[in-house]
Amino acid sequence: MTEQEIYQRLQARFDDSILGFESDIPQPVVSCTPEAVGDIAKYLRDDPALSFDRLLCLSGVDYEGLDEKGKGKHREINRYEEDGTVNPVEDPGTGDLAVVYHLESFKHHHRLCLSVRVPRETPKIASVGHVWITAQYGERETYDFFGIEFEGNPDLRRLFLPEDWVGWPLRKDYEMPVRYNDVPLEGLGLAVRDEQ
Amino acid sequence: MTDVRPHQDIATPAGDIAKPIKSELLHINMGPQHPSTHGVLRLFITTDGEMVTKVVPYLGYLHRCAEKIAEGNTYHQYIIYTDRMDYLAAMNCNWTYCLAVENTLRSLGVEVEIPEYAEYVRVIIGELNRIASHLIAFGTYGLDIGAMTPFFHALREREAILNIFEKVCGARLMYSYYDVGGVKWDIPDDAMDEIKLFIDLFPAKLDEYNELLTGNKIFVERTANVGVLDAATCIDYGCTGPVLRGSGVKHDLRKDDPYSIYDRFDFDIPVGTGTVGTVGDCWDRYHVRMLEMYESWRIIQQAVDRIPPRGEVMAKMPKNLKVPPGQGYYRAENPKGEMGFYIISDGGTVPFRCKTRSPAFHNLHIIEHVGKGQMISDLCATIGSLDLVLGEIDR
Amino acid sequence: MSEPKQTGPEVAFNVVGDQIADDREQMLDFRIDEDLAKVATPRSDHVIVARVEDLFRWAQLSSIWPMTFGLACCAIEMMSAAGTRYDMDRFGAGAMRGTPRQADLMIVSGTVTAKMATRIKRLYDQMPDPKWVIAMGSCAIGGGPYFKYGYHVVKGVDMMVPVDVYVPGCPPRPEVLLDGLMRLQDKIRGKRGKWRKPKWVDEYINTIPR
Repeated sequence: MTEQEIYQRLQARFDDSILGFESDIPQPVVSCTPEAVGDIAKYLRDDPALSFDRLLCLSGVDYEGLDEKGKGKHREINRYEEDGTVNPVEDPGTGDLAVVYHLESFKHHHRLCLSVRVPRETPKIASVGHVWITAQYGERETYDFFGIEFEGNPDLRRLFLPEDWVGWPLRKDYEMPVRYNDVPLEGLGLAVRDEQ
Repeated sequence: MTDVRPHQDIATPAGDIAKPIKSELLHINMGPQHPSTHGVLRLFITTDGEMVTKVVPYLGYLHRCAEKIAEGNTYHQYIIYTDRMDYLAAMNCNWTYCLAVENTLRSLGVEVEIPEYAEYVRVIIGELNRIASHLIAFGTYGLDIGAMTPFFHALREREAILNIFEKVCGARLMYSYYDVGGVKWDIPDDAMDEIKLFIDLFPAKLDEYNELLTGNKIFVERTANVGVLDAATCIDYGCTGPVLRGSGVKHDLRKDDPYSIYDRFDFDIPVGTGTVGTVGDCWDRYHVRMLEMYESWRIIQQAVDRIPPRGEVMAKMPKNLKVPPGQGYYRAENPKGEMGFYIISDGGTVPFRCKTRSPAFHNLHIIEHVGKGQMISDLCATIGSLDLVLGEIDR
Repeated sequence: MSEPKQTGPEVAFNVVGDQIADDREQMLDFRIDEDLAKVATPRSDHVIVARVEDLFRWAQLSSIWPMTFGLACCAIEMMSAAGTRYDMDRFGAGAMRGTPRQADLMIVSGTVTAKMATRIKRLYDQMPDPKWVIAMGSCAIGGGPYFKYGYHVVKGVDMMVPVDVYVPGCPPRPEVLLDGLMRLQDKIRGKRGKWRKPKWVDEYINTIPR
């Protein structure tokens, strides 16, 4: 089944929830609303004509700085001055966050890319962890990096970073930390000397 | 911290029945510094005596911010960071990344014509690294089980492969040999001779390994019927590579979604058959790796036979690589499983977003499922059979 | 008529300060307190007098027990150094221990992250004195390639624990790690060991085309 047919099938089933379809690119993208993604995922897996039984990749994206045509000016995360000081970019981001699901079917050998945009102020989206178990870790990772909350994930904690870490590192307006508790994270600190 | 619970009734002499036996669940941290966790993996285990009732992995002890670094470095500069993801198979990681960038370029209308000779070089070197990676998996699995000797045998052959890589690109572990559009240098003559010598000698070594470990009675006792994974669970947890194939699913991207020139070679995809136990046990996953080494050897042999006369190794690429706006997810078969890169480009020289789908990350997740109800020693055997590399899991 | 040859006892008397003493000192790798030895040396070549401290150091440097402490990519090269071809055991440092309580050398082989840094400190504190640390690879020395944008990477393990020997490289070859181990042995000994260039080195250098 081609992406076009999958899109038509989805649109017939979930009328308003399917927002759009980008077909003129090599890996077409279907986009939908964040609330409906749980139901859509269940339908994609359980419908015998689709049977997407594999979630290949669950990635978060911060679209800050990328305009509608896909052209964006690359945003500096931190500016390193000549004298070694670090100046974070100050203006907060305004762009949307997104979660992208890459799906594949073992049975039919077709693929789909599902993209869901969530607003930056209230990044909330339905979890698909009950559909594909592997999504539970992917969602934890995306929560860790982007602060997107997956409603319905049984164990939504930070995955890689420590529990008391501040900020969402893969957002474009993230400020580089100077230290974490007792641990210096700057490169210019003084080394520990041997007391003996 | 501990859950006190009444023990179920057990038969005791008549006088002792009245006294209830109090037992507790014990919580143990395994790692991050533990000899059998293959790096800095930390498992939080709840045990009832010797039986494990719950396993919770804690990750991030090697989180090196690779995806943030990708957003600050050019496409070429990021190649060196892909080396450091799966550091046992750095060539394959390079290859996957370069493949992803090339395919993204192609899909957006930029011609990338990789020379035929370079494709053959890529296959030979990539398969050699697959053997090297599986050799470490084989050797350290023996260490986990308690067999020291196979490790030294495995390192001996691995040093031979590293010798070849050193002649090809000057490095032993971090190569950065693949580039967008081909490979960086040609294979020198003496390295080619050494590859031919390796082809001649390797099957005998494989027999030696099988003699050492595969049929070893103690090894079979430790691994057969341990950590059994059925195919449906594997697919649900997103497992790929030898873990999925060990459960009997014939899935290999080199055959199912051929990239590069893999459709020209004749090779089989080994799957777990449950020879000494159940399909999908630790022994099957181990044995799939051993068979894969043989298949890789077959591919190298064919590639060396058919390699075209020496020519260009790089396509004509601009020095300052710019990728037009667009996106794509591209993948390849790594020794650990399916590795993929999801690249979003904004038209500049720097990726807007470069997400890595790492196979070991998904393979690790299944430990939550399979660890329940095992003995602690069996848990070590199961972790070893999954062949985890923490650099790739944490990125 | 030639001079009579020096006999055994004469040689034994000249143990200190002469060529033979030099050789023996090098053989045993510890320093002889010359004055003390002059007074106390008996007329036999089977006894060498030394300070207890030096003797302890000599014992320590010949049996360094490293901890099995693989962090990242460099751990693979550390494994290679302990493996078949390079065989770290030749220098008395092959007894890899799984627990810090039995080890006296920590080879920090790989990137130190914020989450791991406190654990490294704790492992270091668990090791009994005397203890030494080798920082292996660029990441452990100063963040390496993860210096910029590495929000979770500690830029050098020496921010957390004192380091004795830095072994550069990304990753260092096993030979370099072995060299680092010997520099550590020098440090324990209290002086640099003597190194004589083998003859083949010059011969080999002459064969390299310029």
